[in-house]
Amino acid sequence: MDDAELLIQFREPATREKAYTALIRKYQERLYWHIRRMVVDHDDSNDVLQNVFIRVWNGLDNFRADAKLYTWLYRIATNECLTFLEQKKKKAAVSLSDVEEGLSNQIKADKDFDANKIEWKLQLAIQQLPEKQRLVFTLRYYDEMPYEEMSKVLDTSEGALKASYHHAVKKIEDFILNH
Amino acid sequence: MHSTDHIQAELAAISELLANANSKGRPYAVPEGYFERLPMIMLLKIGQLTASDDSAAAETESLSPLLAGLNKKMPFAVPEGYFAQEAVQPGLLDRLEKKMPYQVPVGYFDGFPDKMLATVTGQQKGGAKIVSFGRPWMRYAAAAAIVAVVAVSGWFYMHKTTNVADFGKDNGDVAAQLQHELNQLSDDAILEYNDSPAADGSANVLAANDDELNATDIHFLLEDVSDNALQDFLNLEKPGKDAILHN
Repeated sequence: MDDAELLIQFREPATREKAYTALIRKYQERLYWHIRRMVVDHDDSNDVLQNVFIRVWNGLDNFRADAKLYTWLYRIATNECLTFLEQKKKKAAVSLSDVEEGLSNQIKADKDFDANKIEWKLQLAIQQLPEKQRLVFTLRYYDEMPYEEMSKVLDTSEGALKASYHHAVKKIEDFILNH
Repeated sequence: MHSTDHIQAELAAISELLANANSKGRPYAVPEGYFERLPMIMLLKIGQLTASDDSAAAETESLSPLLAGLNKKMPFAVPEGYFAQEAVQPGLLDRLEKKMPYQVPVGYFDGFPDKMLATVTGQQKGGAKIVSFGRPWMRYAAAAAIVAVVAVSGWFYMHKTTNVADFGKDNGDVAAQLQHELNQLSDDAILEYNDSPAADGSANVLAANDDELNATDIHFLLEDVSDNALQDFLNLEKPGKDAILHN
């Protein structure tokens, strides 16, 4: 079912739930991984993902069809991630850098963690980035999102996103080479 | 006056040395043919950027061949069956070599849509019970009764040396009246009051008073106080320094 059909069915009371289920099935993995790269822990990712789909249920009626559905979903997911990290920071009453260190420690605590494997080093390197750069890097590197779409998701100019990605790549490269 | 003359005059007014020196020649060398090739270089660059916008992989390759050469497979493990459903293409992430290394609980994605549906429809179909008085005056009555109880309790506390028997004789009717009014209130009314902003307000004040000042708070509070004023205060308070720190 394509997005346009999903939206039509969601607006019909008789097919609303069917459309909602189809929408979740279609986007849950992409959104999950986007969230997980940001918050690392599965349980946290699950909480954030559920919040995202609750917002979708409550807001899909007002979604303007002139925007892409997946861009809108990514925007909600990104905002939920940032809200979650902000709340985590407040709860822990620590600085952002401490939260990032906590995320790195969570990665190291993963049962499959192997410091010698490059993919794990990459995850650690990603956590060293500031939040916004981390978002830009993961959206570009993993999701291969065009800057035009990313610009709508992150509400940032394409030029700034390109620069941010450039810096992120260089920082990650440095981290990998020096660790 | 020509503008160059004007600028030269301005320069002379500021520094005769510079104005008289023949310093406007170009000391830097430019590679031979650089300006001839530049338009072509720029066109190529723009073309490359435009093309790379559609290919994140190509862009990463141009920025960092090392990173581009890495396997994008995520080291995190995913619990077995987490993604197992018809709507998902199992080979998609593998094909892109961007599989995350994280684990996901078994069957997580299988049941996720149904759980979400139950959650959102539960919300909508009255899954959560909303308690409402319906009549606003009852809220005020409940609040007034609670305030009265607090006031009388405060009076008892302040006059606790009073003979209990005398108090009972003098105030028994008031207390009995209050007790009677309270008995008429429902538990919901009392809980409603406790959840109201008025009740929260007093609790927050107490909580705020209980909080200890941290370094940031102290920094914020002393932001506008000069170092001299602080030093003077410390000199004055030296004997009681410990007391200040602990209070």
